[in-house]
Amino acid sequence: MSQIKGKPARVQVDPNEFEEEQPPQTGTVYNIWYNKWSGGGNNHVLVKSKYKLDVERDSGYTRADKTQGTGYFCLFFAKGMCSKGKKCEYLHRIPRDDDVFPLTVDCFGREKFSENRDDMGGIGSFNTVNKTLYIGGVLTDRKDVQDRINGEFKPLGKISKINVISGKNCAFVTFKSESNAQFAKEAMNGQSLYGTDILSVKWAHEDPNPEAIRQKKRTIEQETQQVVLQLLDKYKRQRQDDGPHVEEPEEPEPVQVVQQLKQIEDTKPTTTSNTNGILSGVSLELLKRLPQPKPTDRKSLVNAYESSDDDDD
Amino acid sequence: MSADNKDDVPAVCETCLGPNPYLQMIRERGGLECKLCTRPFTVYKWAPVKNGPFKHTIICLTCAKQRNCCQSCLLDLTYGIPIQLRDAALKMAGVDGVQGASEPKNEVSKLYVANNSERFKSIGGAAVTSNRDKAKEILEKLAAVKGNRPSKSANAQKRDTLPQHIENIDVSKIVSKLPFNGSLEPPSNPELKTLFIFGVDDSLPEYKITEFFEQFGKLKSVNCQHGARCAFVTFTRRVDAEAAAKSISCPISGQSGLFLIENIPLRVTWGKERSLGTTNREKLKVGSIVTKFLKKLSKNSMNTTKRTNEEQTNNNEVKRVKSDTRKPAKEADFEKTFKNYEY
Repeated sequence: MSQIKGKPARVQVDPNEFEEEQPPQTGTVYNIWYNKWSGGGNNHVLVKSKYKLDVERDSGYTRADKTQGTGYFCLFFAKGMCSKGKKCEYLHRIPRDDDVFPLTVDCFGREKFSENRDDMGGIGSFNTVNKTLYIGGVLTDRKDVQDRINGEFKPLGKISKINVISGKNCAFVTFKSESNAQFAKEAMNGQSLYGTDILSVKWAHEDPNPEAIRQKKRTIEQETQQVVLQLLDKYKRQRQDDGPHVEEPEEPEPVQVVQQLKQIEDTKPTTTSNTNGILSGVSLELLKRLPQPKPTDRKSLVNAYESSDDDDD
Repeated sequence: MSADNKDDVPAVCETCLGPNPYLQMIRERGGLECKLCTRPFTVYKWAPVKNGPFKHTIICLTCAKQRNCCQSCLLDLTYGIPIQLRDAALKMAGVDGVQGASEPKNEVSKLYVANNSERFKSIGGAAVTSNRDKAKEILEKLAAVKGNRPSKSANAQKRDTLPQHIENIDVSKIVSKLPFNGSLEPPSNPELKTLFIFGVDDSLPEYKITEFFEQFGKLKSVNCQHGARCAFVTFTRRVDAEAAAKSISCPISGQSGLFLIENIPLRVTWGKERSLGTTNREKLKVGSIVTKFLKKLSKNSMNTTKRTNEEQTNNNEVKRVKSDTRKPAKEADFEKTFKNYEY
């Protein structure tokens, strides 16, 4: 990876030669914004992708590497069709282990949904962590199919498991990290292993195999333990920092929200709407009636609130 | 329409708000559909860092309150962890009622739960973490639970016996071709660059194996079948394969080598890539035979430690194995993990 850092990202597609083509007609109305047909039947036709990502050749630095950008990956790069090269505002490389994204977006910065789509395509759900891809349209009767899948998916991230279901023409690929799975899903959808086949890559449902369920339970347990340990650590540190009587200033506090909103709107909240408040509704009310000097420092502001909180108690 | 008052303030965590105490927010009433209850709600938009990217709320205040989570990042407001993890942690601490009012599944019940927020005040462990004192109490409790709990290792889990219809499958043809009794001595065929690994556990990811062998040289292919508990690692150069084989120690010379990844003992021999079964059932059956064979092997090497001079003949259901009796003493710590490992 370090050698890639030194070279600029390749322009994958020449913008002058790029032609936008309509996909084969499957509906009655063509939407030029989404490049999709709508209306009519629901017959989804897989189209073989014209472009393909070559990780070794195409990755490199872009504008996103130089500035503290959004840190999201280029979707067009993943599909092998970014025409911007090093001028792209998004990352042109494979997600690494230290690329962590918020729960609610994927590695391309697209917002997730609460539920998976019915066909398990698309961006996926924020309620579950899915690292497994379903690969449809695999010619499983070929002898070297496992090797081919390994060869195509290995450059896109660390693979934990590949399971080829022979007779069902599909395979499941599990990645080490979720962002690699998201990246590989976009990179491999519509690609082909043997030239004649077209892969359709979607999210996998949960594995119903009892051994897999047990293993998942174990990993969740381990994760929970880890998180609890971290929480305890944080909690202990806070206690040491603060001394016996002061509340933690580190923890998220709705007081802050109230304060910030005040500066935008002049509306006076009549009651506290935060269920998680450390201040009772009455105390907040009292505070609001006080003449408020413009706070100069956030820390002092929090402390001021806390002392009055102590008085109330 | 979500029943947001115009005076309501968003429930957003401090991490999402950013370091700026004088933050400006843009408010839009009914600007988006709540991602959980699908009702329109008042959207707040702000930039945590000046001139940086914007953040906005994605679920409505009612849903956020019910779950005690941030409207923007959906993490628990008190603990700052995903709400699913929080519920799992609370369950570990023995808090009741965490599972009771659970997340509504379908669209209608989601709407119903959101519209009746008085009745469904909290979902999952929200009631616990929304109370600051209680949340702290639980953390302390969790610390105690953590101390008492024997850490369950993956190895301690016992494997189920296979169902009858899989047990009945005849895989002797496949198994007879697999080089279980091969050795780590460099074979005479110079074209052979493949190592056969067996004993691969379900919890051992493929990339760990790849990483282990990649330190010796470039790999041509890795064929890892977790169902069959076997893997083939092919190097591009014979020299690298030999170096890899050399680095792995043999507890019993003339037999398969033994090495550890993540405390999971794996056996290695030279061997040409063979089929590990075409269907999943066949693979599972091969895996169960591998398990049995591994048990025998470990038992065998344990016996050899006890009675060093007695020759042991190992009657195996796969093949008859003749084991060498001498075992190098330096393999003591290998043996330790090995004894503790339950196949």
